[in-house]
Amino acid sequence: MTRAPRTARAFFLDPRRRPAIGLTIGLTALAAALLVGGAPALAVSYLPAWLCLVALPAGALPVAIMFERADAWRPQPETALLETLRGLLALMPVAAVLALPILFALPVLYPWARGAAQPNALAAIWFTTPALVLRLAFAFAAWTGLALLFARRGGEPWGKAGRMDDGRAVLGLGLHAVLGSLVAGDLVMAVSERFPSSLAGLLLMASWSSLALAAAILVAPPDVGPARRRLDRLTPLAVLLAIWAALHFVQFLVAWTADLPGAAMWYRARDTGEGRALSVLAGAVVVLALLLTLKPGENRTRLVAALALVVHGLELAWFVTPSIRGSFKLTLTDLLALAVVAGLALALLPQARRLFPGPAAGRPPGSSAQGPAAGPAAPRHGSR
Amino acid sequence: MQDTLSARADPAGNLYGARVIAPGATVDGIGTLVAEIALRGVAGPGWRIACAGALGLAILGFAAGVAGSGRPLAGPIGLAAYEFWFGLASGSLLLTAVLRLAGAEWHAAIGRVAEAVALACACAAMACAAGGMTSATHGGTTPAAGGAVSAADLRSVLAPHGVGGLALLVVSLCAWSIGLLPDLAVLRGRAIEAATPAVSASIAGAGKRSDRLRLRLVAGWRGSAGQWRSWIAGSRAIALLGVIVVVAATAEQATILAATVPAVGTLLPVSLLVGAVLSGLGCVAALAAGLRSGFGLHDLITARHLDILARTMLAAGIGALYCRAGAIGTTLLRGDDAALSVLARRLAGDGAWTFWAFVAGTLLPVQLFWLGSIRRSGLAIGLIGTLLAAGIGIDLYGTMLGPPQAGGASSAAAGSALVPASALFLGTAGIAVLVLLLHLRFLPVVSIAETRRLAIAHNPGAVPAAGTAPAEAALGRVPCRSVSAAFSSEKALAAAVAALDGRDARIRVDGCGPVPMPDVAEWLGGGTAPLRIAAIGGALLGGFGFLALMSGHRTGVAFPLVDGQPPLAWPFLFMPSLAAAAMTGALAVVAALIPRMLERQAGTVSCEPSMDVACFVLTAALPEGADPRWIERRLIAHPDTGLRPIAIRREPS
Repeated sequence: MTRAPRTARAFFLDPRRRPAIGLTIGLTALAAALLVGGAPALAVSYLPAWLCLVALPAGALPVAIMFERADAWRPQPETALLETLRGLLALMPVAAVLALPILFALPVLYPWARGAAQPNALAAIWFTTPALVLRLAFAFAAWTGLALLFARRGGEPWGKAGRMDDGRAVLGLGLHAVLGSLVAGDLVMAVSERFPSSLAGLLLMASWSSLALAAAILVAPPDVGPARRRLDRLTPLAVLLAIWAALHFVQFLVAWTADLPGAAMWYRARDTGEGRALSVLAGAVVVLALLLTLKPGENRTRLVAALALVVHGLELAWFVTPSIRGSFKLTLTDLLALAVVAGLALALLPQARRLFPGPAAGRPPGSSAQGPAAGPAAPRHGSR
Repeated sequence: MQDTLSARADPAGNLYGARVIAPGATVDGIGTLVAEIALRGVAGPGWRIACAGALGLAILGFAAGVAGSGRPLAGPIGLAAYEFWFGLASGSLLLTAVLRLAGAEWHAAIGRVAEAVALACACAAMACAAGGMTSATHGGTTPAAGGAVSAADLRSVLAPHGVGGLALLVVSLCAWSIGLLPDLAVLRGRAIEAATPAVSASIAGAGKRSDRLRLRLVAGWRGSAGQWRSWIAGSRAIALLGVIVVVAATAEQATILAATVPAVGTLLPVSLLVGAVLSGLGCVAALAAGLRSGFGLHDLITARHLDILARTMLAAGIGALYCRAGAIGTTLLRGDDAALSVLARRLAGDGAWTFWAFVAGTLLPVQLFWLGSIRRSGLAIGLIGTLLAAGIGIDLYGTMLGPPQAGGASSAAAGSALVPASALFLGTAGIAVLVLLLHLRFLPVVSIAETRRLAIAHNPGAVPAAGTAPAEAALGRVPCRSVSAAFSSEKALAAAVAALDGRDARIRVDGCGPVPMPDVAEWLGGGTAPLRIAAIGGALLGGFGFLALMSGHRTGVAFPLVDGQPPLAWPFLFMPSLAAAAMTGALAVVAALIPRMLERQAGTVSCEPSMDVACFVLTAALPEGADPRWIERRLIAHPDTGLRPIAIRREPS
């Protein structure tokens, strides 16, 4: 029998109270956001906040697959971080449930839902509410299936400790790419009809993966072992950040070179003081990450991860809100919406974890049902 | 050798997790097998005929294209040829660079092939550029067929949008040459060992020119721990710069296409990169399968290598499918009338055959690699790999065609340039084949150093362990210049160096071996900071220098090199500057590395410069009058008998 916590900090960190605390925070923030900005403003702020949530499992999925494949080449597996990434996959059903409010805000968010003319007959069929609901249902069903599959080591059936097969990895990554592109096109790029970017899917998936890895680095327990043999967690994050920055830049470069009027308008809406500051900050974080790979360390890695988390959170708002508000600026409603999503996610997480039984999803064998935020698996070096 | 390295992967079984080196592979056996090919190898009539054919193709192609017809040189075939060779070189370089940086074991047997393909194709791409085939684009005009080759066209190679190709060639050359250094030392050692006394004498004097060249190139290579450490650091630095140059140069090509070909979409840079990787993989896989079969390299290029290459091609093929489907889907859903008409023409218009040839030659055949039996067949991998590269080339040609009303080259214009441009393409193909044939004839086709490292890591008997160290009673006080001791493993050598810690400061200790020895290098001290400084300094100097040169032009300062080019804004200059930075960074790394590789060190006896060291050797150079017994006692007194020397030798004063 466990004793009741005696301090306020221990009270709030108690995993048993976390759902109730999360629900309280979420509902309070919801009421505050409605009071401050009203329902339309909350709808606009809710979308990027929800994107931050979905980025955790959707971004963790390809990184977990790649880490597990890379472990096949390495003498020492990265168990602690990998277990944390697998733990993030349990958020996929939560993100699916919390996507429901977006469906009720379609006219606020998307021009096609307000009756804007579509360029051709196919688009007129594609951009309708029933078609969108069907696509999202398919996407989240498939994503949850992938999360259930890859939350276990090797994606093997329940309880079987296996190895990652190349075919399974390729199929998982391929399906994830399709799903990510669908969701990015439907929920992110559709807020503006001006810029038909075919690169947006890859760009958002890179952003999600970078965000998820940064979050996992912050949450995962530190690597153990002799300093010389410690696994470098900064290099994968720096590589992801570099890929993400390169994709951003080439998208701008191609759009600018091809002189696309729609793209020019899209970028102009984001060319505010805050937008430029975000660009400078993002560039600085990427350069810092690349430079620190020359001499990585635990604290330096966590610093870069924290900065990357902030940049990606802002970036997701940068993607969505200027197309509706006319320019990029942060509001109090944006922060409250983030609190709403975080609180509700915390409340729903224990229910979602029931779908992920066994020693998978970030829990060490024998522990109680807790998420990665509650304490991911202890490192199990050499457990391969 | 075939008897020695007899164990092979089971062709009928699942190759997942199979070995990437045969169980019987030894340090000596690998050196013998690969050196034999380079020293005796393929200099038969077949090789000579192939060389003559490739050379003739190159000469005739250029003669027909440039001097013969006098027709316009720029056109879709010319542009596609440049992009094709550029893509092959980029893909191959990216493959070997990423695998080296990731530390993938199977890179050992494939890396040299990829480096050679990258170099050969980069030469062909630059031949395209130098031949004026891309002059229209590089000159800043649309790719219409028109205009003759001029001095300005040739200078365009060095202009902003030509620096990517040049950087690719330079970095490919750096990667290839640095990788060869230790292997050339092995060739030298083998050549000396194999020579009769008369021939041995001639090696230093009037022997074969190729042997003399090899000797001079690696005159100071001793295989010391410091040299290996520098070699590893330099190889990794150039690999990183290779990744940068490929990404920058590909993005640069995408901007050129976006400016000239309408409705290409923002996915174009990724699409070009994936296509480059796919074509490079196809070419490397076809060549690797051919070498494996032709030279009997089954124990170094194993069935698992072919399996991994096939799986990688499959993954890249799925990536290419994603890019194509994503671009088409976005156009169908969000494209305007112009984009839809371009797509309709691409799928059902004049150039539709190029799209369907790409589907039939690339996207569909690569799916065959889902079948295990196809992945295990060298012939199938060779054929499909060739088909993939050809399909990518045809697709590039279709992209270059573009709609006639929108600035792309019309079919009529393409037809008028068909003969000279095709002749030039064949000429550049001749150059690429010639470079590859020369490489196969004179140089190791597989990295000896890296496959040896793999053999030592996986095969316990890879290094000879015969012999025993002398007993302490046998040691006498005879003055000598140096003491050398042979060990059967890097671990034993590192233990020996550690045992000599705290020695007389005048005693200089060094360790040599057939493979990199990180543990020994750590004990001996020193670092790779100068290489890092050279790489970063060279890159910064090159990148900002290039930017300053081009920015100066923009503000009205005339430079002969770029005179006549249109004004340039900073987004245009970013990627070329990055490519230039990678190029100068690679050159700086080579400049910093070469002196370390070739430095001679007095007092080393067993680690003779340029000899092929088959085991791990410690040398201790003694000061005048020093007693060698202290060193010998420390070496033979190790508590673990497995870490004691297998032989000790003194070099008399």
